[in-house]
Amino acid sequence: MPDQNLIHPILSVKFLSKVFQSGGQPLTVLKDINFNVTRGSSVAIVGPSGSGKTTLLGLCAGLDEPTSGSVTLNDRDLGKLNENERAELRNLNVGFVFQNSQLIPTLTALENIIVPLELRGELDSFTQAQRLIENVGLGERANHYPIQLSGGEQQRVALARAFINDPKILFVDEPTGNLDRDNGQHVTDLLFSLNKASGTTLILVTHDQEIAARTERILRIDDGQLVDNEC
Amino acid sequence: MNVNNNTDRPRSLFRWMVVMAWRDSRGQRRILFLLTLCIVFGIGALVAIGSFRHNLEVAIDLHSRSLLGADLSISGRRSFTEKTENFISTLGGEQSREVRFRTMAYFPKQGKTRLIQTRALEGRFPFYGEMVSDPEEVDFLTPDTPVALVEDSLMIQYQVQTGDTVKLGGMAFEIVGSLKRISGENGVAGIFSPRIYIAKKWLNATELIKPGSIARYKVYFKLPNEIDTAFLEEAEKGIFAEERLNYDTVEERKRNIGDVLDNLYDYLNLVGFVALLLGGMGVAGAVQVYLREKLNTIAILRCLGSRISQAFGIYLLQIVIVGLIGSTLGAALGISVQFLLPWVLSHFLPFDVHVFISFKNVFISFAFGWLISLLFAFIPLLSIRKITPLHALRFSFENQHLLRRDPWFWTVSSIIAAITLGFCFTQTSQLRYGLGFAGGLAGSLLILSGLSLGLTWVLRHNYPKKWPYALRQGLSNLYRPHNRTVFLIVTLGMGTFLIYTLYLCQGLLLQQVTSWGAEDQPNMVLFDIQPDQVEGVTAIINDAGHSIIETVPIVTMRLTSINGQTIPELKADPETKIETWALNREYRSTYRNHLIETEQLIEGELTVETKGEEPIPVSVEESIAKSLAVKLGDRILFDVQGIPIETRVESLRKVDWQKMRTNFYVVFPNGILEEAPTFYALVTKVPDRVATADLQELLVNKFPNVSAIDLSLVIETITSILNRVAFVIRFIATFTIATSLVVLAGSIITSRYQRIRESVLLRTLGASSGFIQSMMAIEYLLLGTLASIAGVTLSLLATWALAHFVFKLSYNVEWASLPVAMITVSLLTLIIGLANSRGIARHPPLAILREEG
Repeated sequence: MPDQNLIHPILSVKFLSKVFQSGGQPLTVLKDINFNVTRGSSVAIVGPSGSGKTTLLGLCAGLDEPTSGSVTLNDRDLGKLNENERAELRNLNVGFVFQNSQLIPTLTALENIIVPLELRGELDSFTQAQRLIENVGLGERANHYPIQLSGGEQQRVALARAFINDPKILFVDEPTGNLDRDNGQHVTDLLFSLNKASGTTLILVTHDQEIAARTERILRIDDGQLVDNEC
Repeated sequence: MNVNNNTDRPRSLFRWMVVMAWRDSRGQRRILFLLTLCIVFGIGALVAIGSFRHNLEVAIDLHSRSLLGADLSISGRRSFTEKTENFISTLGGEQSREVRFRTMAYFPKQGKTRLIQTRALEGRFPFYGEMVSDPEEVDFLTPDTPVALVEDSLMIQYQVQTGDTVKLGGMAFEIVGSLKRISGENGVAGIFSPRIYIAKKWLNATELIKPGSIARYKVYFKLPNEIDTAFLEEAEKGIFAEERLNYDTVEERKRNIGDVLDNLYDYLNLVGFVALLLGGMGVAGAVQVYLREKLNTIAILRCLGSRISQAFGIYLLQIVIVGLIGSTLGAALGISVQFLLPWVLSHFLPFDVHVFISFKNVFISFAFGWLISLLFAFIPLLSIRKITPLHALRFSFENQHLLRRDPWFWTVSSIIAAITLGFCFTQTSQLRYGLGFAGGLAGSLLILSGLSLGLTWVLRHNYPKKWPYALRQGLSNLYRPHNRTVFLIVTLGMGTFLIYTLYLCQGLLLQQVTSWGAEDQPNMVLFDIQPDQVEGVTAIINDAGHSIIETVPIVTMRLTSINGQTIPELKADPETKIETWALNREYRSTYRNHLIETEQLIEGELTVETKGEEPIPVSVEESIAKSLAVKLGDRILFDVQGIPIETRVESLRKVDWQKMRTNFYVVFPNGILEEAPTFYALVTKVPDRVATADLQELLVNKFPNVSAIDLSLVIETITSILNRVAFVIRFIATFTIATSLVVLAGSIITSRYQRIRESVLLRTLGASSGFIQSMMAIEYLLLGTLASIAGVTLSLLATWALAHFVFKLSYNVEWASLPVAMITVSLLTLIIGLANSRGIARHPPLAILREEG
């Protein structure tokens, strides 16, 4: 019997290319990228600065549209969806962790965590959010604003927000890029432990080899092309 | 997982938008409050003016009868004939009579003379309304000795008391009280010729009414029944036309006053609307800056699954609420100001106005102002739709939203333009005037924008490289990325333009009058001089050492027919282009054999002498020719005090009416009117005010019926009226200035964080707080200076256009006022800028970042 994961990977990228116009000249950032990601797996995308990692992440998450090729996320071809349909898909299936946490400055930590659920119409999920914030060790900081939290604390809140909607897939962009070593280690441990507990697929962009090594698979990108696909 | 079903979801999402709008406003409420202030003054002006208009309409209805003081009045330029008296007697009711004319009043105790309007009254008047005097209800009609009621302002001006004497003609009157107010007449009415009431029984004794005297004879009626309008219309074509009578009813007076007040209201409303438009622009600018800070938040929400409409809805809700708060505050301000308007307009109102809150008008202005602010805010809000979630990862240079390619931008802009045009049209009642005002407004904004861009370009490319660093840095701040320099220059410039144009126009009009006082120009006209008084008057003037420029004979006459059609026939003709007033008026014509310096022949030839063969060739002034619809060769039959004289239009003249000379509509040649009953006017030049007063005193004592108009009186009167008008306009224009200043403050505050970042960086690199403050001061000073240059330049252009096309005056500017205007605007900008930048330069950098983060 065929492996369901192989037949229906959670993420399927085919001949994906992205070209920007820069000063009237075309700039090819990604060229003919092909890969699949099975459900529940963890993948690191690594490469030098400017190689196209973040661009690839954005395309896989439906944050941008490719110049050519296709991205299928949870059996939905992103190219066939309009912007609002992609937004809904993200809300129901995707979690995000950004390099600089990207918390909304006017919301408290707890309010930031609950945004994905509120977008679905679930306005009374504070209990769930409280549980998560305690899981990340910031239970007593729930009513603090991002400006009152350190960089590492902000990133932990971002992690809690990423998991609040039980995502099927988590996209993480350089989670420790702005943190010192100890904080970075703490955040990374938290990320992987939460991921393991929830069974979410993890796509992680990083330049940190140690973090990459903790994933099941590493995709190397250089100059916009996939050069290595190691497990 | 608690997922709501489909019917509850939209409601939940709306609730979320509301909650999110509230949460997102945290830390930004000061900025949002500034947005509300942008529209407060504009809405305040519209509420105040609109509500007060309603108050006026109610007052006019309430006081309608007192506007005339009677149910009906009939008047004419000569004493009533038997035919007229018979007609008057058929009307019945209670009647009172009045003769009013201008003459010189002499206050012997004070030694002062003044041109005044005498009103010789018989019978009870006013029948409705009141004549307010001090003491109250003073009786000047029944006493057996001659007494007078004198205008209060005149008594104050010449320090005259009750009990003093005033001489009118050959008679001395004891002053029994001061006249404060008459219902139906406003304060301006008494400026040129203050009023003095006497009993009609003393009129003959004054010997002031002589042949040729300009007087108006009136009869007022209090009628038992409603006036039959059909009867009046019939009379208008019949006896009124024959006897050259005018009539006035309450409805007519209401309509006239309503028209005048409507014009005033419409103009003030337009000025208030400019404040609202500027406020709208301020809102658009502030929202644009506000949303720039929200880009990241919006992108994050999009990443997390928010639809475009949800993200848009959050900020739309904020703007809607901000607009409602601003409109509410504006309405409250407007209601407060409304209670000030009776005082502001006191000189122009003919009655007391009861001020009450007009909820309908408050609501209309509230809704209109809120709509305008929303439309303007919509323009920057449109950009939210183009913010992609990718922005949360990084800024995409493909993400730039070009408004001009967005059809919604053009749709919203068109709606704003249509509303502006519609508003202008409703205030001016004629499409071309509405278009003109809207076009002028758009043109002003374009010119100001162009000037702003030009000035900043010039400054940027031409400043000396050796300027101190603080100066260079202050200058470069004007064109930092996302600067609002042009926008601020336009809003500040618009306020400057409005106020300075008003000032220049006032100066232009006054200058025209004062130019009459040039060295070689006459500055006094004496009139109502009888033939046997000419020699005596001439002697007095010569003995006083003054030269006589001209002595002019004047003959009064009336029109009988034009080209064979009688006056009643002409009035009854529905297709006539002739204006009624030109048919009714009494003409004062002269005879001479030359043109004077204020005249220019434009058609035909001037006949200098005639042997008396009719038709007599006459020269007609161009504007009266137009009013009478006559051209060269047309025949006009005049009734010269009972003698018909047929004339033919032989030439047309252009007259400069603005010069202080005796100008005439109709000039006869020598040889025909010399034997007609004549009175004289005399034109002279008097060196100063003291000489003027002395001469007037001499004349009034010897020839009390001779009246004098001197240039200083004219200047004083016009100045007084202009000042009152200017005060009203300036009061409303203040709302525009206030809006400009709020927009300026708002812009500085919304860019505060950017300035802090710059300041912190400079302080980190070693700049002192003094340097930072100098830099900011220079930036604001430059901004204010550029705005004042733009505003003043536009003002000069607009004043030139008004002088050339509207007032038809020569264009002279009081250049000394230019630097004053510019310095005022620059300093105001500097003060507001520094006030809103307090603390940036002095606090430690890290403390500032913690506070403001």
